[in-house]
Amino acid sequence: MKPGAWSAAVGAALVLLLLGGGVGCGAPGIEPVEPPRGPFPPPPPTGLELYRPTPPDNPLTPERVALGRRLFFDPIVSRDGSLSCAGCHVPELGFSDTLRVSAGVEGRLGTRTTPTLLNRAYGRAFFWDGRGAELEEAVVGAIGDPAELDLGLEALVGRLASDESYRRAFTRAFPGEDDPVSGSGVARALASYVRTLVSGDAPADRYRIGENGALSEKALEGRRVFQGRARCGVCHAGPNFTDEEFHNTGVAVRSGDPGRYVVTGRDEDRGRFRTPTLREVALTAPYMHDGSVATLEEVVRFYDEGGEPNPNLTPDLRPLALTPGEREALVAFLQALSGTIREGAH
Amino acid sequence: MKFPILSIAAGLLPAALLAASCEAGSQGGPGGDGLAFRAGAPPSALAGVVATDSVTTETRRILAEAGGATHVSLDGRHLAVIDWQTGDVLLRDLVTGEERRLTDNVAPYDPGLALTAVISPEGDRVAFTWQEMAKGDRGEIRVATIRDEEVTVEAVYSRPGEWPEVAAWSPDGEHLLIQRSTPDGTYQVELLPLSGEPPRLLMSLGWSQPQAPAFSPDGSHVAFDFTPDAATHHRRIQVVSVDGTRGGAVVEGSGDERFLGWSPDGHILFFSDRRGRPGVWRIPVEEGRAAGEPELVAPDLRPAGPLGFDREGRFYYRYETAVRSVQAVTIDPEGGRILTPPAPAAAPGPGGREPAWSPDGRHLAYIRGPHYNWQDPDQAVVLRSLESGEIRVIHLPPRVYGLRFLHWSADGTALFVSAIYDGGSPSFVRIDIRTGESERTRIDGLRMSHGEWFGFARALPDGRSLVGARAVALDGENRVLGQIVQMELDPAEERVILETVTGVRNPLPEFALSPRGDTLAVAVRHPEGTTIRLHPVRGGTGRDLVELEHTLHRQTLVWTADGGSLLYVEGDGAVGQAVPGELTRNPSLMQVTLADGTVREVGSLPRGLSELQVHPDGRRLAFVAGEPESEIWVMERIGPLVQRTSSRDR
Repeated sequence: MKPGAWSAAVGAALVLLLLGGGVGCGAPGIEPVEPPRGPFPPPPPTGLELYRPTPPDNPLTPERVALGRRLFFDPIVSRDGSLSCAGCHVPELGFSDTLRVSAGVEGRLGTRTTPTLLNRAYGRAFFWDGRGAELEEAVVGAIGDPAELDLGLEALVGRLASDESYRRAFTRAFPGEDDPVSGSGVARALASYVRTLVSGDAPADRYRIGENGALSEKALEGRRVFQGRARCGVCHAGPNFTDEEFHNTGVAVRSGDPGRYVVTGRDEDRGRFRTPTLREVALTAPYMHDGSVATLEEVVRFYDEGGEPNPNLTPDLRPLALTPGEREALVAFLQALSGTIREGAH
Repeated sequence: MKFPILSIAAGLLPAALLAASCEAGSQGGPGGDGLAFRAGAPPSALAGVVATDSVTTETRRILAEAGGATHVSLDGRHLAVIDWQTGDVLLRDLVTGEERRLTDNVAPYDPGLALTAVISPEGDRVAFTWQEMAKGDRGEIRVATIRDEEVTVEAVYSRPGEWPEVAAWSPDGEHLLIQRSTPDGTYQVELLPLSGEPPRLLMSLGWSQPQAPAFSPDGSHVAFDFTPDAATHHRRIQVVSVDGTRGGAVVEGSGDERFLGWSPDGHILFFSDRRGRPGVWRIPVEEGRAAGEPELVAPDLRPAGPLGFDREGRFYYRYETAVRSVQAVTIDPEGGRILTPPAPAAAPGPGGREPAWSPDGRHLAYIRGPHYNWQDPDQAVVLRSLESGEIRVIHLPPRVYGLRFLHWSADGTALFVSAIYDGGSPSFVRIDIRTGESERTRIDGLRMSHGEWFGFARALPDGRSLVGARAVALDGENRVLGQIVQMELDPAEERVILETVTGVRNPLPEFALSPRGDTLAVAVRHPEGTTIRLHPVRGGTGRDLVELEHTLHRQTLVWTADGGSLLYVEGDGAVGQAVPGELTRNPSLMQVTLADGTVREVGSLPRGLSELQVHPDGRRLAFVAGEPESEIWVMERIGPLVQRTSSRDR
């Protein structure tokens, strides 16, 4: 599959749904419960860890993934029925969007940009400030947020319980449970689906396992700069290109967003935000937690200049004095982190 | 023999097993990560015994002087051994004592050095990690196949910028389990098919190096330990199915747990300090999950390197009996003689490295812990008073580890050391001697990634900067650009003092800073030997002091206290810098006079010496020396501790 492509069959269906308008997208009448064609869960693409941690009380099953997928695309999750999770986490945009900050129901604006959901199966903290410790907790955060879906989990459960089709789907997903249509069920189903959103098999991955022609000369130079002089790998480490830690790069100086401080109350956490994955980064503009940087070229320039000075600036940042060629190479390498996106049971 | 284990009412640790199990001079006392130890009190202290424990587990020593052993064959007949003198892989027959060489270096570490080796289930192949000296950009995994008298070796994994390490064979002999350090400094556990297919990433472990990865007896799972939370340093035993669909911690708890092996009957054997009772424990595991409670099977025993199980369920392990540590000698600076034999200069325990005399000559600082385990949770900076003998241990914060390049500030108020700080990239840390508090600086610490090396530094007298060494690979050539740079502490600016082009075998130029802090002595290696060059710190033109036909041993170039000459230890040309015991004879301490470049021999020093330092009085030298020594022990009839009620106090 070519870089940037995603699972073709499911992708085509989703595009049709999205083009069909928000309300119709994944409406309750649609039950995409197609049995998986092969082992479940399917192994992740090359470059990602085979091991995807799941909590003991929420093993990944085809039924939960199907239910979560249906919920994800269904605007039933929003107060006025106008917006689904996919409204902001758009599949073709790397499960992100193009807006500087997220837009919720009635066009209400948030303060931060929509982060990608790709590879969050491997995450250890969620949201830009890490306030979600578990994926199950994070996936329902937007449902009650007035600036996002503005519905509330209890109200959503009420809607779902009154829908025979959903009741059946929940019963299938959580067999044996006394009250399958529940907030916990919504959280577990959505988290199960999000765990299937993976991106890998990028040119950078194929190069790593021995396909020498997978990276262009420029991207190869960028790979060296990334791990070497530019020090990107200090934070964008590991197979998912994130250390899952929190760093102050100075982006928040302008807006005053306290970042991680809101969660911990520690002064040293002011202005710190979670390192995002770089997979599919070419698709997920604008960049930084506040969407204040429009292009990859500008991102590279920001870090080349050492970030924005402030008392909590991470010591890992400093002026790099990259050459124009090195900056170009870095962008080429970042573009080579786009690969195959998979979602759902296939 | 069986252990008569005694629990003591006063809370003393069990002790009788010391005499029962250590046949030949095994040392007591706490060990570092690589040390076996048995803690205990002398038998005479066993008053007030109220209960008696007994275990079925037996241990016995099967081999003394077994340095370099890395794995036992499934039939228990052979050991895979790394010969640290030559760098070769050997297969040692435990019955006949015969050794068979599987690689054929023509000279020490020429063309390469093996680092780990594991024997296949059928015993006919040995997979090993290989560092080919001419390929400085990678490590390789090779497999030696043994057919009668013939041994063939093929590389099964070789990629630029990759440093894999082989850990285990799958029971069917079709896969290798490997661990890999990546250019960004993270560690990964991978499955390498021997069919030629690419490796599959099983799990990424962040900055924690896995220990002793191994397959379950049926090959369906792998287990290892790692540190999931850098804040605690506690290691956890992780089990993952080979298809990645299941996994988790197999032993729940907050203690420090180290995986030792997976027995043929399905138990995971591990070291733990759980319940305040350090020792070897086991837990039954089915389908990758605990199927019972942990059982203590060998109290107060901490095996060093686990070597694996044989088919009969016997567990083999190394027990280290000697470690490298800091030693000192006295010299006659005028007469140019060594006056006293080497004597220990560090506190007893897990060894020490990187000695540094304080500028006022009143203290000796060093890093506690072995060289080879840079993630050792017990590492700390130790200050020893030369006047009172008092030992002060400075613990760095929990998330600081990987200490290297310890040295004093010029005014003696602080120590600088390279460390991994808070899971980030290595940086120099400034330790305030008065308070013991540490603070991360903006200066890069030890770094070895993607063709860029950085390390070794000294503080300049200005109190604002360090001088350090850096090397950058020159693309397309087997050469590197070595630099000596001056780095300001704040802001983080730097200036190149001098540059030199060297080979990848020793990328970082070695240097020494003069007592006044104004001149660098730099050792530049080249194919014919070494040039010692003098260069002003402020920049400008330097001069070559002397041409030597030999190499200098690692970190041994130092100035004498009066600044009138240089001392160094003559190397023998071997390249495996980090490997102790590489020298085949005792090395010579040499002195070069600055006035005329005259070179003379001062005396002979211990083998494997490194990290030489001169006391400000000019009469004492500290260095690291000694060779690790270990024995091979086997644990058999492994069974749980059973506590019996004692009638003694009733």
